[in-house]
Amino acid sequence: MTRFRSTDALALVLLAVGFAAIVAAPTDALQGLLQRLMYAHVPAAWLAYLAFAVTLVASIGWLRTRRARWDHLAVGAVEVGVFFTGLALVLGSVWGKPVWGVWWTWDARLVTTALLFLVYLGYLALRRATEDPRARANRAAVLGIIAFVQVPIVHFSVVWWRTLHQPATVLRPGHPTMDHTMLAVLVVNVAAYTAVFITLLRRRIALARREEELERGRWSPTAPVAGDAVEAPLVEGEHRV
Amino acid sequence: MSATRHVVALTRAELVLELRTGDVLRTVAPYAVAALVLLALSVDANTVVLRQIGLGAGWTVLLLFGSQAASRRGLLDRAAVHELCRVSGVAPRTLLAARVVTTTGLLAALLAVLVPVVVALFDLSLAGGLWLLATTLAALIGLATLTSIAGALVTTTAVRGVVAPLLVVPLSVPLLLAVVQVPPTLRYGGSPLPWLLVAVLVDVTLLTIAAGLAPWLEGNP
Amino acid sequence: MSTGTSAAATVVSGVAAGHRVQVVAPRLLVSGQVVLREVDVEVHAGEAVGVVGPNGAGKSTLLRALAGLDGEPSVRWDLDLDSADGAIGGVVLVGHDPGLHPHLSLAENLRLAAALRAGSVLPVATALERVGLAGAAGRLAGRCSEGMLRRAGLARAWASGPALLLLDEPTAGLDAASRGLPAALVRSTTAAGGMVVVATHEPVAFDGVIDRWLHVSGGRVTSRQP
Repeated sequence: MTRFRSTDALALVLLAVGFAAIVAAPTDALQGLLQRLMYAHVPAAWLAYLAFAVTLVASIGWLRTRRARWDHLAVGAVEVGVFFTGLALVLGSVWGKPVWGVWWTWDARLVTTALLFLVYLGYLALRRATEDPRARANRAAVLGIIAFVQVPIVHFSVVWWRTLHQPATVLRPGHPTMDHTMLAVLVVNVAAYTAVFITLLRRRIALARREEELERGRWSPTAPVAGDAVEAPLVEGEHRV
Repeated sequence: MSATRHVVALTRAELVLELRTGDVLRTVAPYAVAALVLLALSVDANTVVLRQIGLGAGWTVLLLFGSQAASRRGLLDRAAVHELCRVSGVAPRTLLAARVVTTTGLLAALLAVLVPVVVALFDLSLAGGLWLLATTLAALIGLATLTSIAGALVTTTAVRGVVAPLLVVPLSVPLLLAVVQVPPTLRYGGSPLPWLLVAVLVDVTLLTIAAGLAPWLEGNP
Repeated sequence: MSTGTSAAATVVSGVAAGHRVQVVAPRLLVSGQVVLREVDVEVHAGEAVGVVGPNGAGKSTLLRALAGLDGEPSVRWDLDLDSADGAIGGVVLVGHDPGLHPHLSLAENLRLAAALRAGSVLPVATALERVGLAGAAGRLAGRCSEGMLRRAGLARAWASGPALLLLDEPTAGLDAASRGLPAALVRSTTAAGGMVVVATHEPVAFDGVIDRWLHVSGGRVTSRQP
């Protein structure tokens, strides 16, 4: 087990504070208790996009410096990001059904989040499909950069599409103007979730670094090389010298 | 320019291969047509509904099955041939360009097969002719570029058929929307120019980034 | 640009002095595994180097590094080709997979390979004839036997007239009649001023054409007396 660090403690504390804030928050006039799901859904969505930005930075970092830490950061950000993206989608759905009567709305942000989820999954699938570590890092970084440039275009095209086809009721996952207390609760939870994100990311990177140290151990001058696994074959009746 | 010569030589060989093996035209195309038939049946072959979904169904099928072109075992998808190209001094950017040109040709052929089928099965009217044509061509190039990039990224043969299309599909949404929105925009009296520009924007950004990242896509830097 | 005459005939003294290839690396990896350590191999114009060693020792890895296919930042690869002589140029690597697409004919494969370089010193038809495959030029590579594909790979090298020729176990799969082909190819390449590195399990087949031998085993590349 990895050491319990101060960032872990901070994350737990913030989560606890955030949860308390959710409980203490004023009840929404329209949606009642269910509205509190927003305090989980919005931070999760925010982190989904933060992770995406981190992946871009890490991808560029890897291609420019070839230092393994950037690749670790990239895969960590995507793995944690895919979790928060999935969480955002599920919470949005659970929140939406009782409030608006549908499991899914074609709101531009939701659609983009869903597509981002698929992009993340594709990124992880690409990593799984590539065995050579260096090729894997290279290709994942290329995909990370291409995806980051394309997703805003995807979002813009969906927004444009929605403005042409205004739905009958305006369904937006958040109030345009929020009560100040609610806003404060939201901010606290965003901070809490970000702390959790950082904690998970650090642990994932530490894991990747350990894996790499294991690999590099094989690089030491005394470690066996690939050819050492091959010996002269046994011939019938003879003993190996 | 030797790069052009390389692209021409590679594309010609790839198209000869396609004529011989029929991977796209004789295998993917019938499968795509079958999918369109299923789609039509799934909406009860209701003519009113069919007319509404025709363009979208056709383009979605082209997108889904066209991205299968990314998983074909073309010339550059054989490791030994790819290495031969690199050792001979063909630049990574040229290899990627050859992929894009080849895939554009294959997708254009697939489109040519699907258009009459969609027009027939879905009673599609090609209203908005020139705008639709321009946007379709722009979207075709974007799809070809995406598919080529995916094909270059996924070289493990076993999973290529599923991973490569998975990479293509989410990022091809702007292309789908651009094409499908042309007729409604014209009907409401607007200009479809923004949609054409969306498709062109996707093409430009993809081609630019791919060209810049070509060494990591096709080389081994 | 085809000269129309065989590459072996043209030797211009002094022109070949510029050819040189060197690879220096702290380690060579294959799929993240260390295969060779402390690699420093240099070959000069007109030199033919042989590489021997047990299976899995890293002969192919060394050849690929010499071809410049290893892009690891720690690997230094220098290739100086004297381009003054227009008759020969470029690198040719004939590996275990001869690099022929099964749905193209032998001639089509070779013509494509020629189109990807500056040209060829031999027309494709002549090269195929030299290796005894003139009759099968129009046959799809997928319908050819392993030995035929190996010969076609050698024909590709012959047609290219390379400045750096890398052969990976070229005698494997060849019948008795063609066993001497790789050695003849080596001889004609070095005679034209090119560099050659051959990995082989049959050093006897290259008697008289190899200038020096390298031994690959235990992760190291060492010189050895033949």
